[in-house]
Amino acid sequence: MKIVIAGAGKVGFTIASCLCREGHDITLIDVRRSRLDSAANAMDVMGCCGSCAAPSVLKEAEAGAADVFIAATGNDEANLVACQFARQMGAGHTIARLHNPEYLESAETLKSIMDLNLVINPDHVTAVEISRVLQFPAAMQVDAFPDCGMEIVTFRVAESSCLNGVRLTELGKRFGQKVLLCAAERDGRFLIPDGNYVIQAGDNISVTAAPKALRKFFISTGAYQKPVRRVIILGGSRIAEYLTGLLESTGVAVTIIEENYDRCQQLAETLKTADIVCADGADTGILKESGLNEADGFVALTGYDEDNIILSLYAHREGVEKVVSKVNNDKFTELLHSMFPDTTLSPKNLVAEQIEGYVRSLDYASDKSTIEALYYLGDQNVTATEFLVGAGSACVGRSLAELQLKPGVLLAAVTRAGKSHLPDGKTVLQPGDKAVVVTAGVTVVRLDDILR
Amino acid sequence: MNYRFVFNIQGKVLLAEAALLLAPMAAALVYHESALPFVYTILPLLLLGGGLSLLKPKNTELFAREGFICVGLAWILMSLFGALPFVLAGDIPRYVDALFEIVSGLTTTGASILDNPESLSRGGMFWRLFSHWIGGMGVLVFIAAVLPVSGDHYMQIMRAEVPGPTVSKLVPRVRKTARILYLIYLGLTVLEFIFLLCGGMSFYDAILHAFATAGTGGFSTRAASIAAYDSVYIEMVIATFMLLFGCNFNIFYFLLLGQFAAVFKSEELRIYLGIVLASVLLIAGNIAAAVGGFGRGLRYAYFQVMTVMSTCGFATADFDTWPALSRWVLVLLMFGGGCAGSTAGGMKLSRVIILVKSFFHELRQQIMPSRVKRIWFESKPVSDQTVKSVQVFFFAYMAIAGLVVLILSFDGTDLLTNITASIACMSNIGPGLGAVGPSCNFGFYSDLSKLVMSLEMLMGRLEIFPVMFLLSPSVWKGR
Repeated sequence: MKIVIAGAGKVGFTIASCLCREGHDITLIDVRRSRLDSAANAMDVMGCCGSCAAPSVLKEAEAGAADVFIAATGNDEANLVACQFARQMGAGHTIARLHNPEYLESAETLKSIMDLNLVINPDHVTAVEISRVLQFPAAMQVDAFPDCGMEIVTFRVAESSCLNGVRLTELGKRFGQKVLLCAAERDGRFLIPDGNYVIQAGDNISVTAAPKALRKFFISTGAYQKPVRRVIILGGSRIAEYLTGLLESTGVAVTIIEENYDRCQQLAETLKTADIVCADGADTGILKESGLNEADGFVALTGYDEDNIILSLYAHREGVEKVVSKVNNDKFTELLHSMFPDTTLSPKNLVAEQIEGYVRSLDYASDKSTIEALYYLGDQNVTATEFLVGAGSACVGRSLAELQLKPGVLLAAVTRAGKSHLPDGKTVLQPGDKAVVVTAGVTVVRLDDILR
Repeated sequence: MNYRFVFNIQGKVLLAEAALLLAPMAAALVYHESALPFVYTILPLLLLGGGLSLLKPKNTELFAREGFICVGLAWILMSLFGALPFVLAGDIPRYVDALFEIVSGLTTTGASILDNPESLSRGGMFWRLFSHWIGGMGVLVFIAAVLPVSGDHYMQIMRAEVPGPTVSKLVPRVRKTARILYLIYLGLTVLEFIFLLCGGMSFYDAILHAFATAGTGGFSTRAASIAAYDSVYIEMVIATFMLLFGCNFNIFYFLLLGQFAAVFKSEELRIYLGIVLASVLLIAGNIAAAVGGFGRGLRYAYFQVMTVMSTCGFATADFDTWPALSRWVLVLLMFGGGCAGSTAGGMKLSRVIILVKSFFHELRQQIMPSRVKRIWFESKPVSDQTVKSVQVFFFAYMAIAGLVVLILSFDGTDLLTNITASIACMSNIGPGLGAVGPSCNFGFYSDLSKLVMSLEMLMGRLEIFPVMFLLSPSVWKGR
């Protein structure tokens, strides 16, 4: 497909590289030539220099001929204008990235008025993700498939864990819960485990189950932690604002530390119960004064990866049970994970996830199976994709044991008529089912791609 | 200072008063009394008012300064003229007494200097209770509602006259807002009048008591106040209407619009009702033994709590004879008063709530000095400016009430009497404790004390600042 992306910043760049890897033709638009150059050096894309709000620039980038037009600059209004122009020129689908909380409230109305196909708010997506892990602190990552009621939880196996040394075939017998181990990362390599896989300390493993079963599983393995009750958030960014809003409604006590006094005032006018401290969060004295030692959650959301990493390490050493850090640089994430395993998030990856899922779902034509949701587990190579099974799919009508799945592919959950269960050899897919497929190192655009 | 425009508005105020005086004059005529006292008051009002309104302003710009001055001046002029009918009719021969009485009426205080109000002429009595109704919603709001005044700057005046820490419009136009407020006011008054008629009150008494309740004034046609009727029905009707008139009028507007969620969410209303309920139960339990049973206790407690909380000042029982606990609860309620934007006096509940919140806010601020936090009220952050002005208001309120006690003490009356007299005037309630209790009156005070208390009542009704500005020369000298 032909895709035009306006804005080659962090978010635009990440989206471009994901979609490029999938084989789409990408044209990037940005006002800064240097950004376009570095993008062109890193991947096989074309650059077009200029403002995306200018019709002439859009024409030059052939936005009218694009199947998908994605406006991902940092300026909401420019994104909206660009999408309008692209739509008028004849672009197939338009996607706008919007930051402002006001636009989030009215996302649905905006979509219909401006004829947008998708509106993405990276800050809000990130905040939702963080609030989910704070509800389930034992996990590094929690991905929910809303329609089927299944969750995929990723966590690090601790040295002392009773999972250490357990063979996959014994998992069900030992812990009595119906859970499915769907992906594992060992020494930086991702794999879909088979029956012979033996869990080792230091593995990052992803398990699928219904939320209740997952909770019981974690309790029986002794790794369960109660939801976080007191959180310190470093940096009063929009993510912090959204996150506090989400947490306040569940009764979590929030303290935000922000250096800029005017920003503090703004936050104080929108957030009712949160404590807002105007101070430098890098000052460990301030952290302690703000109750770091009493907190069971610490979220680092400053604009600097380095600050976030260092202060997360500090909070971890001070004994805070759950530490979440926003790290944009993927290399830094690896570095941080080598030191201690806790949740790291990057808004750009979360946005790329959503857009990749959306773009893939446009490709369904052959078997009428559409993509409902897509998540990266650990890194962009391991994905969990939820498909709506179409009548034309080759997977329909045969039991799982008969289907010849590609290596690196796993059917993780099947939902039929609102009830979801973990598949086994006898499971037969039917049209209308929702199937969650986990893949490692294999790109699955259509459901039939899982077959050999 | 835009003197011309300020005086032009004063002229309109005086003309409005002349028009309003027609009502008691009509009452005098109906009861075959001489209309002359009213005629002799209306004539100078027409002359001066007409003259002043002929003063055409060069421009109609009004700023906060003019707003405050306008309101302060208007109330004082109205009081000075309003006292005349009492003197001319011979009801209250001394002018200082008459002034105290009319200020008490207009400010909806209800503190009287009369030993036996029943000796008053019918016309004088009508004017005495009608003044509550005029003062309750405010005469400048009335002018905005009926006269074609320029609305561009009139909010400066509304802000100075309508009680509460912040004043918001109901609809974009000042004039329409004023009309809606007056219609609600009128509607509720009529409703109460009908209820009272059904309870067997005479036409004359019912209409006057409806006026007195609506303005949360507290004058009565009877010496024994509401106790004279000895009717549970009448007591409950009046108590309930006191409860209603103590609510923010915006609430009724929302009710009329069918926005029940907004009403239910109102923090001030919920706290108001909560305090009423708690105080009634506490006092009822406390006085049960003295009045013969919890049921009778509830009856008296409900009425007295409402009369104090809405700063009305009617009496069904001499609460001065109640146990100390009950008496002190009532004194505490005197400070709070009703909700902002009601006709009740006092500091207003929303101010008290903001004060309490700012206290806890400050406590936490002491342990976390770098914390940035807003005080939230009615699910909205309160601006620092509002919090500060509420704190200053509280100080001024207490300081002035305290100062007045000092002046009253020259008269040689006992401390409890002086303290509660000062609070009752400041909060526009009426009766206090001791020698100014529900069964007594303010007649024994010296002229100086009466004048000081008159000023205090005006300060209480107009929330201090307009009267303070009148007294400060620098504001007069212009900008």
